Amino acid sequence: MSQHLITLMILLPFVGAILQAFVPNPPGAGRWIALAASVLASVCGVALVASLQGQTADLQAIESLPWIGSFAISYEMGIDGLNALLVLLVAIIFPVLVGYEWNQKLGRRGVHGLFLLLQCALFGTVCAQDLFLQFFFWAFTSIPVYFLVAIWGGEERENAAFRSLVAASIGNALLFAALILIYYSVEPHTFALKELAGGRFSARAFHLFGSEFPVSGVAFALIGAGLALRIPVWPVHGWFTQIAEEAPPSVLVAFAGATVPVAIYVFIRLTYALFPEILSSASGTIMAVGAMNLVIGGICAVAQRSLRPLLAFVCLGQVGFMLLGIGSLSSAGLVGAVYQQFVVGLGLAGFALLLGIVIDRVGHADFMSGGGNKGERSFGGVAVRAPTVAIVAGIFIASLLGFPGSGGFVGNALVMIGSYSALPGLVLLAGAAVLLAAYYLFTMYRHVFLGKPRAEGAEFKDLSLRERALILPLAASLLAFGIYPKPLLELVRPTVLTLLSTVK
Amino acid sequence: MITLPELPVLLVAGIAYFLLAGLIILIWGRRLSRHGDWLAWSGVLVALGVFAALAGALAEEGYRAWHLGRGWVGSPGETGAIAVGVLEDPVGLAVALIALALTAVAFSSRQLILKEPRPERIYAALSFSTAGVALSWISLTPWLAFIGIGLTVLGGFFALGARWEENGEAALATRFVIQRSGGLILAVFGACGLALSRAGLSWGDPASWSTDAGLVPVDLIGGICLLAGLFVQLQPFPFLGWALTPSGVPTLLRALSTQIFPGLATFAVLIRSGAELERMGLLVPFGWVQLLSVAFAVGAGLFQSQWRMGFGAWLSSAFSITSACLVFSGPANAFSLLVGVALGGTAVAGCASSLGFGGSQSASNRSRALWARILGFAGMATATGLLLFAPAGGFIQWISGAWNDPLVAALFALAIFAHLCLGWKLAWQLSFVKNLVQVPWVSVLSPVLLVLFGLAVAWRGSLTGGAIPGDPDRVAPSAIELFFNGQSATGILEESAFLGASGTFWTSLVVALALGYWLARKARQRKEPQELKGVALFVAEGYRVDRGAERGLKLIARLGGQVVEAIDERVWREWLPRGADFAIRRIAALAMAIDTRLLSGLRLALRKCVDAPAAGLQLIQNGNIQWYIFFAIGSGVLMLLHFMRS
Repeated sequence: MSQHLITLMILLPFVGAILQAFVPNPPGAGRWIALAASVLASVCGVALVASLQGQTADLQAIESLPWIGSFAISYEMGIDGLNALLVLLVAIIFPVLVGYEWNQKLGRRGVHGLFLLLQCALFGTVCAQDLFLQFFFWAFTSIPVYFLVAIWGGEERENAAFRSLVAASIGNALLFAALILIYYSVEPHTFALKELAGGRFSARAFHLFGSEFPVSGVAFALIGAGLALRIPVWPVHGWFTQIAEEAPPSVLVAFAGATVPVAIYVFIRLTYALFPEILSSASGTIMAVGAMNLVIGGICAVAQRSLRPLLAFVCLGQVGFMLLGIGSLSSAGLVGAVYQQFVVGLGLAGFALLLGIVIDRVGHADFMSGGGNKGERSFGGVAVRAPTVAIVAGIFIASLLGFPGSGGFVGNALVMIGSYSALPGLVLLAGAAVLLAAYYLFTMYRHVFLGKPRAEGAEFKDLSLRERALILPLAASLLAFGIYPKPLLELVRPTVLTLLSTVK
Repeated sequence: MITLPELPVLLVAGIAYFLLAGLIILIWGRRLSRHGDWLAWSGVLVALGVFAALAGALAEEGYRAWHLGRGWVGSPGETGAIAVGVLEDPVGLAVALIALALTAVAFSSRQLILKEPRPERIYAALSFSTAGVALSWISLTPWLAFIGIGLTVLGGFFALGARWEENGEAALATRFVIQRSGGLILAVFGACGLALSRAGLSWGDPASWSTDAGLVPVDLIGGICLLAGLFVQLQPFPFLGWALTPSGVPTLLRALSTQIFPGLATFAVLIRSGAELERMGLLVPFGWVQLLSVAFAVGAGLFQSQWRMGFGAWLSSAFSITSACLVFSGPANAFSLLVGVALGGTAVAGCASSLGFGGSQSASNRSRALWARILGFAGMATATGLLLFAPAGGFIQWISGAWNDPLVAALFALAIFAHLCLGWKLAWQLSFVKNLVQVPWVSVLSPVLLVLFGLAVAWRGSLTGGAIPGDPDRVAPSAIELFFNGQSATGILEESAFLGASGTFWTSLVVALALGYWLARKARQRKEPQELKGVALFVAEGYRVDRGAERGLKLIARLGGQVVEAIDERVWREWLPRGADFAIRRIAALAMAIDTRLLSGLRLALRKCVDAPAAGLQLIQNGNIQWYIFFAIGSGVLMLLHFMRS
């Protein structure tokens, strides 16, 4: 059983999605099946991570089966320090999302089914060790998101969903082109990561229109461009801000809290494993893109008067931080980036969920009045009526800003330490962006939670028992991993050091 | 008897208990009896017990420092690692006890706290702040100290939060937390830069601060960011604007939770890291900047119409003066000034909260009011080092250390004089207030504890605190010399320099006393609050730095709005969709046109292929006999020719 834990972890949500959709009366049975499937899959994930041996970079819990033999495509799964935290992240977030949509009146089975499919796809993406298989799961993630936004989103949901699907499709197409290029550049042809690792095709080139192009350079560029369209990287992020405005809070959580960190993981896995020599020369560019994300994300966030786009730009900034660590090519920087995937995922997930609750209660998302922003509607004084919401929001903000003692501090500090050695100037820019983040996050906090309670918030209630059960564990995890990050860091470090040794 | 190695867990547990008590009071304080003050007091007592155990253990070991370190992120001793730990030394113990004393005085002002709309937030705030100060001073590395500073910021936020429901107070609390958070973030950034090439940054192990490579640019960047962050925490100019903004929170609570406790926590990092920062050559510019800030802070303070705003400016100036003393005279003398600021400043603030224009001059209040005024005066004496109080020796030794450079010594003396002037103006203004808010005797007299703690004999072992060369009035060992390994011994200074510095200081103090009285009388004689104009208004508003910062942020917001408008709205929602739509339609139209042409061409070719034989076949069917005969004869001839060839 333990040998097939990964497969079980992936299959359970898939089976649960189908079962809950077709189970007959009573009507509530479906949601219990959905929750059970999600929780069981998460338990498998947590058990998998807990059973990992630390101090080793080797792939563990390996499952390997031939799939499409004629094209050397195999079902190959495994877990190591690089993807363990992502497994944990997905395992924590998705049962929360299923619980959040517990009382969804419109098409609850559809929502639950789509979340389960997304959970299945994300687990598959994270654990896959065959490029084709990874691409298969990764490309699949765009479909549930499309339907979730298109059916349950806001007024312009169709536009937003369509735009995200187009961006995802273009990104996936570029990624697939890179995979095909890599596949045909090696003899014998293979998609297996372990066989392609170390830049086996670095000396290869292909001819097009009479010119010669290096395989690794072109493939790296295609992968970078393809993933840039799935991660919100400025300036190709426009679809993401629209998703943030139109998607239901739970979908935004699934996106910002899970899909974005997984996209970054895919980038780390592919670039460090397959393109070590290209990475050395591209590291400055990656860091520059990260710094640009941070700075421009921060500047754009300052201008926001609505909670949803503010969250989108906060996410943009956090992605910038992770890219800074990835490009630093240092152990501290990369460990920090990997750790940041986990804590930022948790932080954004919890924060988005909390803001979603607040928006649902108040009925709109505009926290600052004036400036052509739908008249005088604004928040105020939520802390009086809902102190738990205010305290928990404070914890998430502290983590996003990287205050010592919170989960975000560990990742931020490591990324800073690692990035200083590479490009100190960019680190200073990053610092300025974080200072700006303190300004706009606390300003938002003041407008939403402090001050005189507005009359329209008179019915605002504090978190219900169900909501506390969903959100408090996220906040508690952030504090716990901020105070005691050692177990997770010891999982990550050996794999990171091994990856870096191939680059250097 | 608990030994030093057994104490770290106990110390952390004691601080954690205080923190937890504060959290419980914050969340459930309204439901607890007396708003949970009994829980807050229990935190004080537990912390006191724990630090008393530390005192005993240190005494057993001859007051030698002891430390325990642990890896937090990375292995200890590894370059770039983030380590934490506990440093048990007499300095940390002393400051923790001072913090507890200040908190006890604040808690004893129960009537004051109960007047606040949300008293439980005040108890929680002071609990967090005290825990933060204690944590900062027992921390072995900057990282835990940053958590301590963060706790004091949180405490300040909650103290102001007693009135969050008012928009103005909410804005003030937000400004406070934004500024302090920014400072903390900068300090963390700086420490990360220093950590890059060092193993642990442990204050118990100076070797952990040395690097093999010598000073590199990253060290300078890290050091500058660290100092900048600590600078912001101390709220000197240009971060003064917040302190000059009025608030409804009583002076004692506001001063303690938003200036004194954060300042005490910040000095843990400054004093402990001072030697290393000096080796990097960063400390001296920091000191000069702080001296300049004194001038600006005093200027702003003198023009304030409200006493409490002037006091806020004076506290800012006090921390700046203390920082400058640390740079130019060393940690021992700076510590004596810090003790004066903390104890004396709190005593003055406590008395100011008791005396108030909303009170009465009833007979029963007169003696209490008199005591409050006396203790207010005594508090300022504690803070400024009037005879018998700790800071005097610090000021004198500071000036005498620079005596060989008259210009520098004059600048130091001028800064000190300006600081004393403002302080004594405030003290005299207090002494003119006859009204007393209805407070019990314990609230009025609790500053006595602080004044007694501030006596020079408690810290320097001599009655005048090192104001007389050679210390002939020494009656006990000097605690400060014990804290800082024999520094601040007066015997090492030249007697002429010492006499000159001493004369300068005492003259400055007497003149400041007189000038302060005159300024206070002038302020009192103005019946209406003064309407300032021009330069005076500019200075009183903190040199309008905050307005400039606001404008800067609005510019950034406008820029952000334009970027969002350009990229998100125009490019992504208009141009890209339109462009894609246009391109796809054009390509589709082109394809349609090609398709149509191809089809029609095909049709044409097909027709032509079909027309010719069709025309021929039609000829056969047209019923014209000559065509039948022609085809018949023609076919016959063709057959004949075919067979003749074969």
